[in-house]
Amino acid sequence: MATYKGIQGFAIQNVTSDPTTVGQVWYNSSNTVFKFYTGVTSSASWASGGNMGTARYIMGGAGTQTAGLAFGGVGLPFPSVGVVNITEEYNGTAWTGGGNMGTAMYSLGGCGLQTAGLAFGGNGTPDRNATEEYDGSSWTNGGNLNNGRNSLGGCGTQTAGLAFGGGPGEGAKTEEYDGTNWTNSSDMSDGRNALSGAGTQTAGLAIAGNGPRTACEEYNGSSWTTGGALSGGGNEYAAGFGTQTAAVTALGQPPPAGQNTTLTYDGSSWSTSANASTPRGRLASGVSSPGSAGVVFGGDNNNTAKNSTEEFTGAILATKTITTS
Amino acid sequence: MAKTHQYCVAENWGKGFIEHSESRKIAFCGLPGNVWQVPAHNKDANLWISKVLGAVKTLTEAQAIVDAEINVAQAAWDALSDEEKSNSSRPADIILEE
Repeated sequence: MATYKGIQGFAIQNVTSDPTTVGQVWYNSSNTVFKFYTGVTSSASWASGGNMGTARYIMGGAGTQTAGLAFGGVGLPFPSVGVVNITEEYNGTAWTGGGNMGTAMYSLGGCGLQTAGLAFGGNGTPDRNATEEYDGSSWTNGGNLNNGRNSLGGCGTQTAGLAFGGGPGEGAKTEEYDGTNWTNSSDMSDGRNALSGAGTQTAGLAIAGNGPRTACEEYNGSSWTTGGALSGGGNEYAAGFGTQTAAVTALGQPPPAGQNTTLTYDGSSWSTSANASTPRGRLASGVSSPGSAGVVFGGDNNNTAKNSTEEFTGAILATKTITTS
Repeated sequence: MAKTHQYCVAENWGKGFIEHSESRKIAFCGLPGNVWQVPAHNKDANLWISKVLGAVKTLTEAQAIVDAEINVAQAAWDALSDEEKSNSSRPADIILEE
């Protein structure tokens, strides 16, 4: 007969605080009860959110699931709708109009919050180096990037932002923003464009990118190291949010139809999570959302711009107490 | 061969259209033309179609709606200049499965 020790490699442990190893049983001497860790009690899932007023793709995103921000981008078909400077704010239920950007931009980077957002870079000839700061109602000019670029990654806040990668070509440049100026930092190991980002200026994550790629890199505030590779075929023009140790990358391309896959990162490896309902690429996210509660919006599928929003809720794990009843 | 999927047409009105409790039970796939693919012979999927007042379509009918949408998108893409085309890929046909 199998024994607990035979399965786990140790006898039931006597502890004072609860461990989090799935399947482990222990005795909590503080509570004088036996417990076990069930792992997933509620699986990750997506639900529809409110529709944006303007369908668009390759726009910027910031904020969270209950306070999101969408700005710029392109409506399809291109160029009849063209590049927009429209900003919309999400409250967890519906989108409402915000202040227009000073300049219509697309393929730009974004980070920060709904009341303290940051937009930087964008497509152009040459690629844009401009930055705009949002205060919850209007945009003002910020300091220029040292390296103009498009389709770049971003994370962090309005006063501690991070820009990395991007075109033209497969850029590796990294810059840090202090609320006034951008400062060059160490290059990424694997230059790329069409990547997504998560985390902060001192604990950032560069996810996948053109190809599509499966590579992931972690930033510690001064340099990049290789992170776990994405499972599956990778993605480009996907949405990212969360932290360096609890990140999500969702949907994205390869083109033209996009994909609806979701992967979660625990700081070392990526795992497959719940699929979203509508495949699409070139979308944006509330990049400052935690990995347990994110939001993605817009994008395109087969060159049809989307106005739909999807909200992500991560898996919930739980500890159970063993009783005789 | 038994059907794996069923199709309906329903407009995504936004919040509440698909709930977390539904997506945990049902594999959704949104397609062009407001066509939704959900599992066949599935009570939860049938309940969702009822909730969203979905118009159930046969495979052939759903395919025709998707084709029409993609044909329009392909024509629009074909009319773009070469420079404009470089910003995107030509919309691809989507073949629905039973």
